Amino acid sequence: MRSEENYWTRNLSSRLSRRRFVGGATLVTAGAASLALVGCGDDEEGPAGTTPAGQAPTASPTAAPSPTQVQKQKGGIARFSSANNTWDTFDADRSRFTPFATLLGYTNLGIVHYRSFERAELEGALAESWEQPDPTQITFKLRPNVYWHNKPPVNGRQVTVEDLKFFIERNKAGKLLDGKDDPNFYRKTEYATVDKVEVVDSQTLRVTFTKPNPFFLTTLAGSYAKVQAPEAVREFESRYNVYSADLIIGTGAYILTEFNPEGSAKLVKNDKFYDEIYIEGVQYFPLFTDIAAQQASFEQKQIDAFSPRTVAVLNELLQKYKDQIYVMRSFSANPMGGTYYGGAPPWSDKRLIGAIFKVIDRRQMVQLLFQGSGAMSGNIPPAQAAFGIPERELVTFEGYREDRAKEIAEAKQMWDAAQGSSLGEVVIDIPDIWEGAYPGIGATIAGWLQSALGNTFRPEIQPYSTITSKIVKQEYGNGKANIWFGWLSDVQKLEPTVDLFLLYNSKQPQFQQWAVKIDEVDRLTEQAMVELDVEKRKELCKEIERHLLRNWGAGIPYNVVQVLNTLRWNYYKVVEQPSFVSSHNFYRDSWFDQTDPTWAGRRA
Amino acid sequence: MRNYIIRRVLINIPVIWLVATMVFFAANVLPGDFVAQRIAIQNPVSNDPTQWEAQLNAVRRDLGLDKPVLQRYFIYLGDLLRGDLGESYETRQSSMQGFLDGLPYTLQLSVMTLIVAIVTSIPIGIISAIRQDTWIDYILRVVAITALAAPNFWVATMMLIYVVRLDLWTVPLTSSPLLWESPMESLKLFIIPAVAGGLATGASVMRLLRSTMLEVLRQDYIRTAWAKGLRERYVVMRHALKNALIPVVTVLGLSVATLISGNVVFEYIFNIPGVGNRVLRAINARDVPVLQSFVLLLATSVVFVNLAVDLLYGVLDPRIRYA
Amino acid sequence: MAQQPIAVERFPGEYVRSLSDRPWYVRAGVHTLRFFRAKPLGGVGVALIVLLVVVAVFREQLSRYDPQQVFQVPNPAYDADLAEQALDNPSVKLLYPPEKFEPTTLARNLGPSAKHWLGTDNNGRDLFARLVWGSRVSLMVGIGASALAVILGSVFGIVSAYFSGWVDMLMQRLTDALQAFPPLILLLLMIQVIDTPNLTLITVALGIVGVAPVIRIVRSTVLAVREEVYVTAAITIGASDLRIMFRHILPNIVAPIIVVFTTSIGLYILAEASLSFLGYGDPREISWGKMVNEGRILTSAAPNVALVSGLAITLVVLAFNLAGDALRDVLDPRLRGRGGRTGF
Repeated sequence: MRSEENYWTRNLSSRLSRRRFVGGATLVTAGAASLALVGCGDDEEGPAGTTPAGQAPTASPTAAPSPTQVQKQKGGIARFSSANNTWDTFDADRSRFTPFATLLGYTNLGIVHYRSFERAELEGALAESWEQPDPTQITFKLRPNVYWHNKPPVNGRQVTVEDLKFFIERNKAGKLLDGKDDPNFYRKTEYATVDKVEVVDSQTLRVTFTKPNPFFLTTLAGSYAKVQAPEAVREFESRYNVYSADLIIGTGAYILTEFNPEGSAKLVKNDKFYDEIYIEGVQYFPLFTDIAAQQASFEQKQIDAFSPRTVAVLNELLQKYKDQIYVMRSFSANPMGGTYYGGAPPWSDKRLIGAIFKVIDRRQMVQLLFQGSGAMSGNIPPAQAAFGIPERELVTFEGYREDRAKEIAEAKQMWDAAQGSSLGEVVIDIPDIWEGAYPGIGATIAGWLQSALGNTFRPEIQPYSTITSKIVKQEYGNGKANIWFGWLSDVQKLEPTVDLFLLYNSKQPQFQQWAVKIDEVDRLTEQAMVELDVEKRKELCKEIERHLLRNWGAGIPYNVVQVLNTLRWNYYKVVEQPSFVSSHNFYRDSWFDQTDPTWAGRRA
Repeated sequence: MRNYIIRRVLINIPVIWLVATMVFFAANVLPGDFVAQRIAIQNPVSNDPTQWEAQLNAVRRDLGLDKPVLQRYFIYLGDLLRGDLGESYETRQSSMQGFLDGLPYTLQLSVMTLIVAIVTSIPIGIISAIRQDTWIDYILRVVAITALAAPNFWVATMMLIYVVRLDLWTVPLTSSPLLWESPMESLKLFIIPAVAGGLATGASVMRLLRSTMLEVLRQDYIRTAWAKGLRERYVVMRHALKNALIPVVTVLGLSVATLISGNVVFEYIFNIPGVGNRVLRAINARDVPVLQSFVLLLATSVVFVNLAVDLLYGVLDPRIRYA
Repeated sequence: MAQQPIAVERFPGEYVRSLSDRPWYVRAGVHTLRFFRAKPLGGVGVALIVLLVVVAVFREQLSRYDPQQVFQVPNPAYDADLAEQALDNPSVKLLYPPEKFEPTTLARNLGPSAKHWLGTDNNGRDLFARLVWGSRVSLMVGIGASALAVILGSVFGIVSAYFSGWVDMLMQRLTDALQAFPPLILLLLMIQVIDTPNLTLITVALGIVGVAPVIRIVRSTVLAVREEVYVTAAITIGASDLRIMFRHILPNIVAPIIVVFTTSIGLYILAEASLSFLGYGDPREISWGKMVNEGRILTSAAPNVALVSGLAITLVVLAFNLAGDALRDVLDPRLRGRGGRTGF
């Protein structure tokens, strides 16, 4: 469906995700192009490598030749900046911090993984192939010739089927080896339908389910679903929180040789890997706190990729280094929005929360926060666009319409009809790092609301720990006139179905945080969870989103999503830049073109 | 003499205890505890309310954060007496180790800054004093105060960007080499903040020197020297400067104590993993052990340096011993 | 005959009225003029300070526009076809620069023009208006923090030095402890106690951080003054402690206090700018430090934001320092006249 040339329009980012404070940019691993939606129209426009004539001096979207013209070459060590990465644990089953997931992608293999996020294409990793004779069982064939890294206590032995069994069973049980429950097995519920895991023979593993689970393969393809060796888990389980390189023993393309929690890491190529690896090693540099230092470092070719924080800098760099660097864009996996508790006044009155929802000027937010490099988002963000309604439909919903004056007038009517002025002062909590990244945003949002609705809207800066605590304790609303806006949790999967179920189905625990009950949504989410056909699930998700939007986000009003711009030097070729963690594809989809003129001047 | 020393040392012990207590309560009063902050940042919204507390508490127990504040205070004091400065919550590395790792970088930056300050301030201060109220004086003072007045983070960023853009030399931002590891590389990085900061510090030293010089130049013995017909350079350098430098040296000696705390702003901008940078991170991350121990170590070193200076005075000037 | 003021014969045949007979406003005016003539640099400093105060006080009237007002301009790069496509297919947005999709855009990073005297910042807001608006923050923080430090420091310094003994010992140890803290760290810790720093908190925190050196200076001055004869005399005739402290000691240490006050205002303004740079400023106010930080990362692309606000800070700090220096030169009798080769 897509020609070879268009591979070029996507790339793979392998920057460690970081989200941080104080002058630090808040970049996340780069985004996905939309899934399988880019079609023939794309080809006609010919975005790859062409500059539309007579345009402003911003560089063409991609300025480098398509990969078919240049042979993949081996060699070179990739260098990236990392800053303010935070770590929870080095135990893959109990972690949910994206920087660690990125690291795992290099070093560990899962049973399956996404060969391409864009085409939603799964591929066997530790499993060479799999079969699903009926919806209640899957049989995996182990890939031969896969070895663990040569670190004690695993010492480079071959992978066995028992390793896979141990992995699945540990995640299902959610217990430590001594039998104690640990609440940090975050993905335990995804393995709940697993009934039995049987070793059929030394090459085959059969997993049976208690009821049909359409999502098990995507679970196994998750960023944290990386297999760890049983003896390593046994030895390290009690000290996974002391972060050192010898704790990470995997089967992946790269071996972690050095690690420092401040963010420096060294990975070298795994010679016993079953596939071809192009870039010899990866290095992350620590403590890159300041974006100006990162930029200077990128310009000196000390790091190979850089995401400027503003479009002005992006354009200036593209112009200054015309034909030497190129830009790749992806939707951020971190949408911005807020939450409120809808189970009690004031926000149980839909007119009040609806007025606030409508007044937020999402288009202006894209302009102010990202200088236009972003998009409005409904409850299914653009990173999962295949399952959400297109923007054409989104702009018909209240809150997303173009006629701002009308929206504000209607909002004021709703607010007055519900006696909004009796709420008095409304407090808007703003996360300190969000305000730090976008100074003045709190005051801007408060300004919109105040001038449209009349009450005093006061922004208050809070750390995320306070905000999350309040969310969990149902304190946004529920007797108080307060709400918050900032970053929401990041999306980690191509498909939102499971998350929609967990968040909006009234029988799920997470639902308690907003308690906006919609019977249709309950029914649709339950239906989607057992629907085996992907296309039908897409339609269900879209229908769910429509209900959510009509109910003002149903507890989670979404605002906007950033489009991340990543600059790379021409010698650094990549294939895809998805929104999700994709370091597992790095070995195959990135290489250095050492014949490219920009390679000169780069420290090898 | 011995009494003097003992007295001075004894006096400083409660000071250190006071600092330790102040920093403990300051660090522990910060809103948003480390554990909750850590978990919340990565996943603010999709949390299971029934598990939330359990998840936090599991980590809190691990870090010893489940005990009440006063109990933690006494544990902290006890650890201090045993010389245990705790482990960073973030990196699980010993705080002392982190401090010692960062110290060479901060020291190098501070010393280079001081050298630049001294080298620039002394000639300018002298010239400005002996040509008081002339155009030279005005120009030099304006230039000096401008160096002092410009926001240092802005100046430093501009210098960095122009060094890179004009391709003057390659600034090793990713490796932060130290002087004894690779001198040329190290200079290429450290010279920019050293100059940016040194000029500013030099400006205040220059003003001090100028005013003390002005005072000294009105003394009788200087007038005698003029009357004797000695050359200006001789009078200034031989007689005036030595005496004018005394208060300057005092001030510089006091600022030696701040060498170790260094310049947080420059370390941040130039990616130098020194002590200041680490403390900043610790504050932002609510990494309490690092915060506590670093501040304590910094404060203690200031106290000891001041003590040493005092003792030196006591040795040099007998009158002070009996004050 | 009306009472003639006493004439002083300055030079043979020339009679001049003594200045001490003139009314107070004439005396003030003459002193000021002499100050300006003797210390032209100081004069420049004072003039700039007056300008700053006027701007800060009348900021609403002087700024042409609302500093938060966002200006829109039509966008020539708009490509309606692409925008249409993007409605159905979000990945189109990933293939083209964002300018193609906006019919109007914010007036970002414009250079100086008739409409925007200093240009606009990265969010399309007028720089001149923001600069004028931010002057009040810098002024208030600078003066407020300096005043607080000086007042607190003087009180503690006088009390500590006057009473000696264990009061002095205790206060000096407290001052030692306070001074041993790295100042930036102390500042950050104090500010973070409340989640939303506001200007008052920042001012107070800055004042407290700067108190220790003032205490030292005041204490040493008072120690010297305390030994003076008139103090001993006052004690002998039974004057109360409070009276002695405020009637005899305080007037004699006013001069160094004033100098410290004026010269450290610049430092506090810079400290506030550094705080904003590190992200801890008051989020609701526009401060020059924040502007410099916002513009700093754009320096390669659009230097005017950082340049304008950086220069503003530099000029203001320069002004306070020049004025303070001149004031010190004037108030300290030891420094009058000319040194160097030309004379005594």
